[in-house]
Amino acid sequence: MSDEIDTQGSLTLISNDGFQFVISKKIAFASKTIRNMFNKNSGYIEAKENCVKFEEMNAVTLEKVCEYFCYREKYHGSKGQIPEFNIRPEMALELMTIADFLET
Amino acid sequence: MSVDQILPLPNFSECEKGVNAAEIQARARERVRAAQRAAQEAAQAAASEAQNTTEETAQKIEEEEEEEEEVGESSAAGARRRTRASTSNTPQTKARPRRRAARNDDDEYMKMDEGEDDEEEADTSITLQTSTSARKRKRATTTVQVNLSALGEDSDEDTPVRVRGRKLTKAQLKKQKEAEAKKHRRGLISNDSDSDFEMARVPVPGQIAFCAECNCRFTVTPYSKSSSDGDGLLCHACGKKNAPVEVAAKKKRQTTRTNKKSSARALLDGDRSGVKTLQEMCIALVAKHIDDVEALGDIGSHNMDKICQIISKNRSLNDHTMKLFLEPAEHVLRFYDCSKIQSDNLRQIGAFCPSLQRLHLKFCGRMNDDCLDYYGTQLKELKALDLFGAFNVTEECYVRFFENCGRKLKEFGVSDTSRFRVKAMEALVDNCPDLEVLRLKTLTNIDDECIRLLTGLPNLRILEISEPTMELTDGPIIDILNTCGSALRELNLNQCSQLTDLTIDAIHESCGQLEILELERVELLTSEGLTNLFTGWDINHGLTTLNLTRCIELDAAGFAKIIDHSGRTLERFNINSCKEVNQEAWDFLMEFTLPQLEEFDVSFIRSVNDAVLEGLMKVAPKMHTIKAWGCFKLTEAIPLREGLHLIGREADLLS
Repeated sequence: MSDEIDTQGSLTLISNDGFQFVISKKIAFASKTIRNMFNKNSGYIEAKENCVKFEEMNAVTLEKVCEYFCYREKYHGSKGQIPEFNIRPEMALELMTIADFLET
Repeated sequence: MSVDQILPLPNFSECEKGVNAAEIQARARERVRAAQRAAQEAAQAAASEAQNTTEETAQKIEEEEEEEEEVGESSAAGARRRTRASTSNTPQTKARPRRRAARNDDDEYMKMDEGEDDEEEADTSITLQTSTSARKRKRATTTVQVNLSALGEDSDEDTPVRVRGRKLTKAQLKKQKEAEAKKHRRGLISNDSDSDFEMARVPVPGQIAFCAECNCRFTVTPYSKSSSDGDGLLCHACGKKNAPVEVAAKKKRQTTRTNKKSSARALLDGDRSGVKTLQEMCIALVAKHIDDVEALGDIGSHNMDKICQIISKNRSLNDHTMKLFLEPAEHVLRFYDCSKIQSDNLRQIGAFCPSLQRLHLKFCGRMNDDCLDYYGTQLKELKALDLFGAFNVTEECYVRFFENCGRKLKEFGVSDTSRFRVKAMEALVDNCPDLEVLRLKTLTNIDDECIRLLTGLPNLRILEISEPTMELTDGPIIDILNTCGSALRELNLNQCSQLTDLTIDAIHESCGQLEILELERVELLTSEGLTNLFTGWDINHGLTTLNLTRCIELDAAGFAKIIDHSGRTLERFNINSCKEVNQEAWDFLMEFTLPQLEEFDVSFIRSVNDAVLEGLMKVAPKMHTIKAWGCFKLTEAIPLREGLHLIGREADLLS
């Protein structure tokens, strides 16, 4: 099955408490899981509706994830010093499992 | 400082004549007074003397005279050098007055540069060509000239030199000024100096110069800045103006250096450059705050292992934090540093994780017999156990453990203990005949007889006998290879330094399935033996890992055979310190491809140069790590492929 992924435009990420984050597809595809969802051949409903609902993520965590996507986009491939990405220690464990799920 | 205080240096000519010290000192005082009295006269005498010398050096001498007048302390320093040079054959007393003068400008002397050397050359030529009496007069002249210049400098602004001396006569001052003017003109118009090191470019401190920017007259100090176009110097005020730029430049240099250092450090730590994944960052953060974590929860065994690795590295795996990793349902548990865990807590592993199948403990020096006995009875499903550094566990305990485990033990590894001996080995072989993996590392009391017992383990797939303290010979190893060689996937005989080509012949005969072969520091192996191993080795379909670190005999022929046989399959290849691998070998390699090669260690091979590196990048498209310590011919000239890490290149480490 060949990959058919449209990287144009943007998509919406929705947290379990209803917050919506509109983010460019290209940036969000830093997560392999999201990228696979938008593979048209795999027939996910998310690809049609152009939005992903995360039942296990609240807005705070999802915001952090989006922040990471942007951080990654900005510094990916750049050489030299990369500034630290700030994560509050108390959310580290939760974020870790989510990052594991998102494969990012 | 009085003349008497200066300690007389060894003086052979005086000693021979039998003149005593008091006499020498008296003569010295007299000499000083005479020198001061006759200063003016002597200066003229020296000038005329110089003119009387041979025609070839006439020009030089004139220059030297001028310079001496202008640049007082440099001639003093020159004089002092002459003093040193002639100490052995000149009476020391004659040198003293000059020493006193010269001592004041010791620091400036250290900062003198090339310009002064020319001058000294000129001095030397005179010294050589004039008679002894002329030399004496000449030196007296120098003394006075130091004083002259000292006075001149005192009247100038920020001069760091302070030399006490007599006042100058008007005539002398006039002469000095004329000489300066002449010198300046000469410097501007033509560079007729006899050396490449131009006075104009590197003026001597104390000299009068004109600022390249504001054209004002100033005295050169060691701290004078050169102008931006490199032509001439700047005065103090103009030099200060440019200071911020220089500070910025210096800061930039330092930042570059820090960056270089930190990236070199990251390379050594195996950190991949670029953005870390969110997962990695979270794991690092959790590991950092591990003391505050109450429970890790269901984060997956992979993540748990990662955290454990990091906190082991940070040395924060202790009695408290280890409990976070004890999950009842877990099948695998790996602790990478148990040195801070008490034996009682290690014992708890048996209680909390009864379904463990693999247990891997490193640095468990605190473990005692109780603990291992408990594992033996409690962990019913245990298939694999690695105990590294458990030096407190006794031999009897190992015997009991093997009896308890019996046939279900498939993998066993032990290292760094002197208590694992023949009895334990016998018990292992008798009770666990299904053993597939055996790792014996850094054991002190394992000898040939002990190793020969391993012939009773026909199912071995992985065998490691590395770094034994006793010397193991070919015989028992060959016996083992004859019994279980055909099934072996991995063979590690690192640092079994007495092994010879006979062992490799046995490997050639029997090891058809072998994929990983480690022969680090088996230094008796010859290139012929290695060539034979890889020649016509049809039963084997290629190694994936080959480690020949310090098999120093390996040469181009052996290398070619290795590539010929295993080039298609090699993933990790280590020929660290195989210094005989030469250009011929690399040329041969360039005609092949190494499609699977990922890591390559070519450290301390002198023939590795930029061309070889470039070639390697072509023939090994998958290569991501190349180690090149001590390859001095590698430069920064070759741009590295994206994702390829070159570790140990000198140019990266030096800043």
